[in-house]
Amino acid sequence: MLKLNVDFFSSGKVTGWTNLLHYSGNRLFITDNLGKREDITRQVDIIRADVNSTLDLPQNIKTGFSLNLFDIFNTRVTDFSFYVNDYEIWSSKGELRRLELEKQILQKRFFEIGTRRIIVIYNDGSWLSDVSGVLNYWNINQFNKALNNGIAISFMSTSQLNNSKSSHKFLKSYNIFLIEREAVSQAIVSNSEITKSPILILEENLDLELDFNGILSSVCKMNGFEQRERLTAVNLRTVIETLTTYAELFFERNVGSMLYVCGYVSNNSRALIRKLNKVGNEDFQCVVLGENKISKLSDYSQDKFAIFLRSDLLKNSYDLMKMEPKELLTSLLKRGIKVESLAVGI
Amino acid sequence: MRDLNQQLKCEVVTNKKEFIFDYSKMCSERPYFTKNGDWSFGFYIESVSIEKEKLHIVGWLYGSSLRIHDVPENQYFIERQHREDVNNAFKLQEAKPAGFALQINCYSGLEFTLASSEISVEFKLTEDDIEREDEFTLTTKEVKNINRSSQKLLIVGGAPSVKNHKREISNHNGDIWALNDAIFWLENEHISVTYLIVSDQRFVDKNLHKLPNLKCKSLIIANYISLEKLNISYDLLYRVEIVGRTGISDSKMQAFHGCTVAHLAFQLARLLNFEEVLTTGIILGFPTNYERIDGSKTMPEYVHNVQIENVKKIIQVLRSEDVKVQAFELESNINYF
Repeated sequence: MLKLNVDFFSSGKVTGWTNLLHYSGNRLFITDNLGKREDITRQVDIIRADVNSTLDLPQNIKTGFSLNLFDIFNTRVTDFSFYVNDYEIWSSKGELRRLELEKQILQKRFFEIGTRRIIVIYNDGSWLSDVSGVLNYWNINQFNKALNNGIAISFMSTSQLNNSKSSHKFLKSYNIFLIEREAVSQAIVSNSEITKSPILILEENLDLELDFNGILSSVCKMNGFEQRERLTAVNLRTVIETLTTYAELFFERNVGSMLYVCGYVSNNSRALIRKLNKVGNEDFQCVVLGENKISKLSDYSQDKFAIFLRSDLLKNSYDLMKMEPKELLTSLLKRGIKVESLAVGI
Repeated sequence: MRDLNQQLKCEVVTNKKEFIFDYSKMCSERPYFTKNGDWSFGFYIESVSIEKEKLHIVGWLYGSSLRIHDVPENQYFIERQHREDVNNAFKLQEAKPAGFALQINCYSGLEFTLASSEISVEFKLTEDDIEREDEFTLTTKEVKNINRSSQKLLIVGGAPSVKNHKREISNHNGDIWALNDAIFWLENEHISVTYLIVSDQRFVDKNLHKLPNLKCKSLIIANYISLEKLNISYDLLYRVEIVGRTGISDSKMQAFHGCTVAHLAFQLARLLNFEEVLTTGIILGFPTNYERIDGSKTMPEYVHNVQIENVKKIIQVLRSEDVKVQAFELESNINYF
């Protein structure tokens, strides 16, 4: 009997197993939402001892696969399906539809240890408590650290947070907190260390006005979420999955390089930016560079000034990058990013 | 977990069904079965290839005998093979081997039919098929060293901004290296290229049909790049061993990947002692504005930080060694490192 199981999937990766190679003559294909179809039979190349012993297969037969969807499709796919020959046997859409219909709730307390973590905090009995329970029941592998670029994902209620003596653990890690709006103040009172990490404030219907650091807005932009979009279990999974898939973006801690955004650059300006990039000055986050300083945003003009932004701050500004310069500077300031004007002289 | 047996049972082909075998697909995409109470017949062609003027066909068949029509007996050889996988999959009791490997002397215009009681498959070999075989037999000259022919190098990347600098590129008096897709645009503009540099397997896979037509036959590739599917020869092939993601190599035989082919090019440019390295089509801007000359607009995997970290470092090293480095584009971050 031919079998296929997906242990874990995200927009960049899928791992699972199939006993397809035990049966000659069949081929395994993967297709994306645009209909691009790739033969991945040869990528079933991992010996999965657990699968082989359960299915009573020879120990040396290859049953496991771990696919990098970016390599296969060269783009970020919104959904994908597996086919054996011409028959669809599994689709991410179908799997998420099953999640939407999931009614059983398994409350599971997680407190995962790691150097990079996502921590979801909710009030007992709230909508986020229900959504988190459904997600945990749906697929136990979904939040496996090893399958999420090493990001540990924890779910905990405010009462669990209150009773835990884990403040030192927060300090040692780079955390991103996803906290239900009604639970924010209680969570901060329970453990003030939370305020030292980015907090994404969640409402049942997304309210991006509450997004003070821009990370949630960036995630929403990447996934096409609208303001007031309902944060269902599927959408919460997408938010978490985006943060882990793009861990190098959202969990970047190093001071980045000054990168050109727009505007005119003179030879002197270029020399100054090279100098900043050489010394790696972390005091500067966004600079407006010209022969003179600007005292107010309305002084900015494309043909006299250039804007440079530190690359590690893209996580806070991903959704702003195609804005007009003045609008961009205003939005960066609103998100707490320091904008400095520097004059290089003539 | 899904049980596929239900779906497989739908794969019943009516008796005497005929089809023309599509050589370009190289093998049939799925097995053909006939169900007559039980699985009574199965037929599958697994591979078709031409090698040393012989056509090789490998597959399996049970429930019927294989016959070859329209080929004289002295022009082919068939070998029967025991196929335990097939026997197990279909619970075959018969002692007769299911597998076959067929060799037929090859010539243009060869037409023949593989037939059984249930199905027949027609093969027609054209002039093109035979010519393709000629390409398979060409050998590639793999070299252990590369050189520069001038002091000046222009590295051309895949950003669409290259189109704005056609005149500068055409007038460049020195070596020109093309990175990935840039080669197609350059050759289309009749600009000759010293080396094509490739460090992304996706580029090869995506352009299997275009690459054999390139005029540039000198290639520098990362050691993990497979040219197997390409069926093409190059005048010069130089493989660089990739030894890690982040760093700068001091050996021409090795390089760090840096998540961008530009990093490989800069490391080689440094070790070949160019005095001036110019670039176009390498922007390294924020990924939200990422665009390539082939029309794609996504950088699916977020590798921007790694690219910036590596390219910034190599540019700073080049400048510290008095190499003049400059990008034609104002917006290129090469100018600001």
